[in-house]
Amino acid sequence: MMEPLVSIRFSDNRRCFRPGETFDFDCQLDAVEQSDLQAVELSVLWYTEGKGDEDMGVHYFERRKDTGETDLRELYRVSTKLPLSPLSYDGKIVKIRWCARVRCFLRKGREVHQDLCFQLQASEE
Amino acid sequence: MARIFRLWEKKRGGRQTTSLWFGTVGEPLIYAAIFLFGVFSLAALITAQFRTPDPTFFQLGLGNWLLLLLYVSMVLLGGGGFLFTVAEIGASAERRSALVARANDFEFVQHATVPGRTHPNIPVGSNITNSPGTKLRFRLPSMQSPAWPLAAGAASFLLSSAVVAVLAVVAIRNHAESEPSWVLTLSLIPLSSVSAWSAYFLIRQMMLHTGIGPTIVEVDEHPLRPGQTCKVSLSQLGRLRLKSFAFCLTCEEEATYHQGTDIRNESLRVFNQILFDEHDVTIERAQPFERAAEIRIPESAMHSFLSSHNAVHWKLIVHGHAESWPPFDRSFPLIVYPPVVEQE
Repeated sequence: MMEPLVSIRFSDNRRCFRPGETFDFDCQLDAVEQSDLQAVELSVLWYTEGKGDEDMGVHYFERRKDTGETDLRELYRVSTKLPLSPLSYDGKIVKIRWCARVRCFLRKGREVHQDLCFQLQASEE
Repeated sequence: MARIFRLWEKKRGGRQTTSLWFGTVGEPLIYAAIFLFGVFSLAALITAQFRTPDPTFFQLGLGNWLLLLLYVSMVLLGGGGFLFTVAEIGASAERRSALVARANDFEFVQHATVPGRTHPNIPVGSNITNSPGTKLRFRLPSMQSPAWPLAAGAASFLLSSAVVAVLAVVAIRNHAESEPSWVLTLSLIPLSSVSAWSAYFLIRQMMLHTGIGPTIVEVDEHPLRPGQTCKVSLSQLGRLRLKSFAFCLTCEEEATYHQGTDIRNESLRVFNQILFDEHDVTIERAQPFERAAEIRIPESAMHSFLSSHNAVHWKLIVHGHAESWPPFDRSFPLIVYPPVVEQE
C-alpha cells in the first residue's frame, strides 16, 4: 500500500522566523483516499537533540477528525504567534530544533508523519 | 533485539531486549495484575472479618492493618498505573504534550504554577533578585547548599562505622572463643576502607564549609541579555592564604540521559571568560578580599534554557586553592534572556 504524501509549506517559503512573529504554514495530503484517513494532527513544536534524552514542547496543536463534512486532504492553513523562547540552538551536546509537524492517522492503526524544520532566531542571519 | 529473552540481565546502551509492542502491552498488564491481586486480597480480608469477626483485627502493629495498607496501595497504584498507561496507548507524543500544556492553562493549575511566563523554558530566577546586595543591587545565591554534602557525608560515615563496629565485635568474640570466622574477619578490611573513606569525605566537607569563609557575589542587573554588560562584585571572607583564586563567567550545556537502566548526567562548558586569576593571595580576617569586574554576555550567546533532560546554564564561578586545604568551587547562577525583538 502506498504511503500518503504529506506536503508542508511555510508562507513566503521562509525558513527563519523571529520570536513573537505570526507563523503560517499550509499542509496538504495526497495519494490517500479520504476514507482511509481517520484524523490529522497539526503541531508547531520544538524538540531537543544531542546527548540528553529528547525533550519536546508543543507550542500549537490541532487535531482534525474525519467527521464526513470536511475533506482532511484539502489545503489547510495553520497560523500561530511564535513564543519568545526557546530559540533555535546548535550547541555541542544540546541542540534545539523547531518544526511544523503533520501526523496522519490511517485506518488499521497506521501512522505517517512529516516534519518541516525552521529556525526561531532573534536576528535574521 | 536479543535472540533470547534474559530477565536478569542489566541493560546497556539504547538497545531493546524485546519488541516495543511487548512493552506497550506488558506495562498495563502488570498494573492490571497488581490491581486485581490487590482487589481480590482486599475483598478476602474484609469478607473474612465479616464472616468470623476477629477482635484483634483492629489492634495496631504488624498484621491485619499492614495487610490492609498493602492491599489498598496495590489497588490504588495498580488502578492508577493501568489507567495512565492505557490512556497513553495510541496517543501521539505531540497530543500528550499538548494535553499537559492545556492542563496547565486551567486557572486553578496556573495559581499553583508560575504565573505570567512570558519566556517558556527559561528559569524564572526569582530567588536571584529577592536578596539585595550591599555594593550592587542583587546578591546572588550559591548554587550548592553545603547542607546536603555534609548530611550525606555524616550519614555515610555513621552507617559504615556502625556496621564495622558491630562486625568487629562479633569477629573479636569469635577469635576469643577460639572459633574464628576468617570470612568475617577478612570482610572487615574492605568495610574499614569504606568507613575510612567516609570519614575522609566528611572531614573534607566540614573543612571546606567551616574553614573557608563565605563568598559573596553581587550584580547590578538581572536578568541579563546578549550584548549587555553588567557590574559584578566579589567578596571572599575568612583568614586564608590562597595559592590561586579565580573568578569567571561560564556557560554550560547540561544533558541527562538514560544508558540502559542508569541515568547519567553530562555537562560541557561552551563559554568561559576569566574575570581575574590571582596567585598567592592573603586574606586577613578583618579585611575581606574584594574585587569589582564587568561582565559582558556575547551578542551571539544562547539564553538560559531548562527542560526535563537538557539545560543551558550561565554562572559566575569562584575557584580557589588555599594552602593545606582542598581546592574549592562556588557557583552563582545568572539568568540570560533572549535579545529583545522589536516587532515590525
